[in-house]
Amino acid sequence: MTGDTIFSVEELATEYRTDSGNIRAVDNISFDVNASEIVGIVGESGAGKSAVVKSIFRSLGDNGDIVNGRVRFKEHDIVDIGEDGPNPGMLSDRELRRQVRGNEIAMIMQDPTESLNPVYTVGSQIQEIIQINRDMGAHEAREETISMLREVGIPEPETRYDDYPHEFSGGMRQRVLIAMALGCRPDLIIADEPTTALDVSVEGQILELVRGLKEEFGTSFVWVTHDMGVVAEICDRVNVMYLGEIVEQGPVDDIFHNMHHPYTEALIDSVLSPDEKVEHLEPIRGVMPSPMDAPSGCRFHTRCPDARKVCQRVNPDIDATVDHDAACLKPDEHGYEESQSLENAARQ
Amino acid sequence: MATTQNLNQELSGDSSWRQVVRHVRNDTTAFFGMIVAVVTLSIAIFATIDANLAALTAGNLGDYTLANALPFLENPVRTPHPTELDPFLPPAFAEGGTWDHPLGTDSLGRDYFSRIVYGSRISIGVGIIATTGGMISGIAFGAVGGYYGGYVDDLLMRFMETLQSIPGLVLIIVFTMFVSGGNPDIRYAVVGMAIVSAPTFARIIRSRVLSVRELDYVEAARAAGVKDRNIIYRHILPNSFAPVLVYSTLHVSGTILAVATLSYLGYGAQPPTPDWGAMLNTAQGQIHSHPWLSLWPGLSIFFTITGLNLFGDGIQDALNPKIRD
Amino acid sequence: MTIHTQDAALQGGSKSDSDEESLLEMESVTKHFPVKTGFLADIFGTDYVHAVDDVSFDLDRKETLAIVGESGCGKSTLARTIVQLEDPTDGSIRFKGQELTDLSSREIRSLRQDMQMMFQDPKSSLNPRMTVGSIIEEPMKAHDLPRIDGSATDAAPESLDEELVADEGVSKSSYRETRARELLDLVGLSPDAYARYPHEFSGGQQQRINLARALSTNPDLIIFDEPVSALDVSVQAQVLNKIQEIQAQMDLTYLVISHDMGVVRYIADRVAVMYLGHLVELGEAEEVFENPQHPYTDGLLKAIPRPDPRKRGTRNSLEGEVPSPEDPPSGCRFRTRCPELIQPGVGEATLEGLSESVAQARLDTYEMDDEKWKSTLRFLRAVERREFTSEDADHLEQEYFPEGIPSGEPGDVVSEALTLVQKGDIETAATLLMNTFEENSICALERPEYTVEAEIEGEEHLACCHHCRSQ
Repeated sequence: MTGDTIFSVEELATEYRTDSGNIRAVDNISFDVNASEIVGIVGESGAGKSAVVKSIFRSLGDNGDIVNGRVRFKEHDIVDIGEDGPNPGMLSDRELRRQVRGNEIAMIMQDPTESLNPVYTVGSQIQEIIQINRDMGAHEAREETISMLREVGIPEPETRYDDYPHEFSGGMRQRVLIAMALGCRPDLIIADEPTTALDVSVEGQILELVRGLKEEFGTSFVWVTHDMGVVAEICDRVNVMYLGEIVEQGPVDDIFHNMHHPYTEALIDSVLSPDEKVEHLEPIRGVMPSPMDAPSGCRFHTRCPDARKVCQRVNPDIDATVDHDAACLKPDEHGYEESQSLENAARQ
Repeated sequence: MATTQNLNQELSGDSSWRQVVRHVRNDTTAFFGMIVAVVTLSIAIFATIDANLAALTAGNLGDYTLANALPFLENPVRTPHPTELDPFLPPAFAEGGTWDHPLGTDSLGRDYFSRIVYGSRISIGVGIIATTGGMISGIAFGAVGGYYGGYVDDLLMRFMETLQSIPGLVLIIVFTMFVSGGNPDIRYAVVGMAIVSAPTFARIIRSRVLSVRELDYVEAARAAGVKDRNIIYRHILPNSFAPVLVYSTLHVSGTILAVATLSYLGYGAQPPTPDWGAMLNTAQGQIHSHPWLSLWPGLSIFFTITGLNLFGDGIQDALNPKIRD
Repeated sequence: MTIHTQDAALQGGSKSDSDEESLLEMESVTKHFPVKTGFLADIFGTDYVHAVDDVSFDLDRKETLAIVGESGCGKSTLARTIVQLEDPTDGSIRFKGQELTDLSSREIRSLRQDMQMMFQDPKSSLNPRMTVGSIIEEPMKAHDLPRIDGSATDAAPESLDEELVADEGVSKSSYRETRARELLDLVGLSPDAYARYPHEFSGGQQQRINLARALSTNPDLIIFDEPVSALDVSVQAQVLNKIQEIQAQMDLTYLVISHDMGVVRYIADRVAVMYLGHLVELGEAEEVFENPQHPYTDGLLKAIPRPDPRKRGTRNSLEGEVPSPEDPPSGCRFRTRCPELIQPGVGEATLEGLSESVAQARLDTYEMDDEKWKSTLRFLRAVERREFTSEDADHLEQEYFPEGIPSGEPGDVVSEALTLVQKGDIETAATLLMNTFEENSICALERPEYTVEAEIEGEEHLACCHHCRSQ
């Protein structure tokens, strides 16, 4: 890992076992996160974002397996699986639990109602985590909890400490989750669509909060979302996923103004903007195929307006272009220029 | 959104019933349970085809052999002479037994095997009929109450609860004596059991109906102008039925036990009708001298109930989608 | 046999003079939900959730009106009340000239052919145990379409029914099947979908099935409750395009409920903004988006994350939380969060337009300059929300009143509040500030409702904000 990198994913591949065969939900993706940085993972449903998060946390469940890859967090090998299975350096479940989860890496999930235990007060839940992970006494942990609650913008934190989750609104609950995640002063927080279920105005508040927390505590985030607007709002770098693969990755400033992959372009174009009246929008034809029916060659070729015959054969690697990386044949690879065009222009 | 469960469904295009069957086939214990249940059921059904049942239940002491019990076997007519009757014969594999009476004979010389086989008809028949009756009436009360809510619901459910507050056996006994005018019979037991089981079914389906009722497709049907009763038939009931089905398999076994108790008390099957529970209870007194008299009905009850329970569990597992995301 | 689109047979009856008459007229529609239900609540009384309060608007034929707002604003309840899934607590709803609240449930049921609703979540709005075909046919069956006795409303293609069913002996069920398959084609799906199950389709396709179902009775009005919210971004435009295409083909009127301003801008002709049960702005789409008059609309537009990193952090997020609908704020309901709250007793010249009681109840005018007022307002909000980190009066004074605290009465109140905060009695400080400044503001005393002249498009622009009162 180079200088600033605190977290890296290398060639991660995950499969789900089903009655109809194995589905490759994540197919050899790689990305990393530096200190004090927010890295986004953006993609539509079925792209594999949740599978990535679960793989990182090793919480795939009974029918999912990480078949390859390495996930490193600082000096720990959270995942290290090669052809012959797990390599010796990989953390055991127990080590993972004690050393890493919650303590150095925390997670925020989409639905706060599911993550908060309804029968305990909010304060006690946060305090418990702080006590366990930061080795504090009850009183000190309580003070810390209250301070965390205030930090995330919950008014009257001393009183709200004793409230139950259902007494908070959606946005407030999400703040509570952030407080819980931050409570242990982790260096990395993995957030899985935390603002998707929230109203726009509340989302704005949370995003502002997160930006502030990054500045103040230097926490890094992996922010999973389907919303390009959110990515533009808070991410420093982003990985665009399509059908289990990362098709474009790089600094947000670059990518939004200099897209190299047609899917990224289409994704940004698909966003219906409240800022101008658009007469007609024809972003991309078709829908993302199921991972079981992944197209040959470049997975996006069935929907790509720039697809050519060669795209059916060759699955492009993610390559460095001028300013960031994209997996596309357009920069004249494998004879793209000479290849015949597939009439894939967007139409419906 | 693309959960493995959804992917499965998308790919195979199965309706959920086929999935249930597939799951049960894969789940060994449930499959075993299903086999046992099916076997017992077929024995019960086929045994009724034979006309000798009448003879059996009427107390005629002739023709109680293996061949008579299973009509699809060779059926040599052999009416034993009264002097040939051999009470308390041990089973075939024990000393003194004969293969004419593979499970032995009871205190009156009746072939035990036939009685066990015919007894299945009583036990299972009662179980199924009582459960079905309870299910239908329970559904009627629960679904209507759950769907309409308000005072209708209050009224119906209070009635169900009142029924449930009376201890079941007492209720059946009182019901039997009242309606039969002092001549208890298995039929009254069946009706009584149906009445007693209705409230639980009502509650089960009502709670499902309460949540299904809020689903969008029900609202959509209402908004489209579909009549209430069609909504209940086409939308509410099919989607609320699963827990009822699961419970009913378990309930059949409970009924079998309950009927056994009733028979013991004299309110269920009347002698000489062979009912496993009755046979078991009659054999109690001879448990040391002639243990096999209680062994065979006991085992029969055990296998049937276990089989049905395992099958019910299997259905329950199959019907619960495992949501992974 | 083709889908009966626009045909002379449909013109007739009430349609000939309906150009002036709106398809839907809502007047003062109100819906309150009791918090406690049951028989004891009937005796002891209960609180109410003010889901929809006094909403009025008209919907003309062939137009698309969008009702936009965040969760809890009442837009879904409003939609459900229009479709009669709920009974309005008060107010009148006229559909095609008929007063819905007067009708019996049977009459309402028959009107449902003409007014259909499409739901948000494709997974839960399609019965997983029914085939696609039977789902689409269900509304037709419910209203016994096709009808050959002439009793169908003008929405059903009568001439078509009679020809086919009576003369050619086509059975009703095969008519319905053919129509269902045609509808599938119309919404962009293969007619083979007829025999398949909803779970075999993607979200976007499921929404198309929903659409086909809504179209099956040939309605006049379709109400869409968040039609594309549950769909992926790349699919949203596809479904919206289809919805618009069909509107043109079948001369439909649309009422679209959405929280997504982008979606609204794409398909709406007019836009209504709702907040906590009230309609706060209504006008042509371009007018509302380019020239919003209500601070909530403005705030909402600004709060949306744009896919453009250059615009990052240039917007202010709307502060605070939506108050509880059980006890909504008096006057303008947005006043508890409004950055443009009007200070109490503002100027003599603006006495016009105030009701008498309000004019009499006014306190002495404070006439603080804008800076001081903004500072006071900020301070007021911070106290209310307990949002400060230190409780030291001097520190606070510096933070919130860099230009010094206001003079005169307001200054005294502020000083007192600062002292109270320092003592730790935030409760009293908050009440004091609220009562003095917010509760006496015209925004709290009177509910605003003004019709201003549109600047960009259209004629009228309804803006429920007292800042518009001089226009």
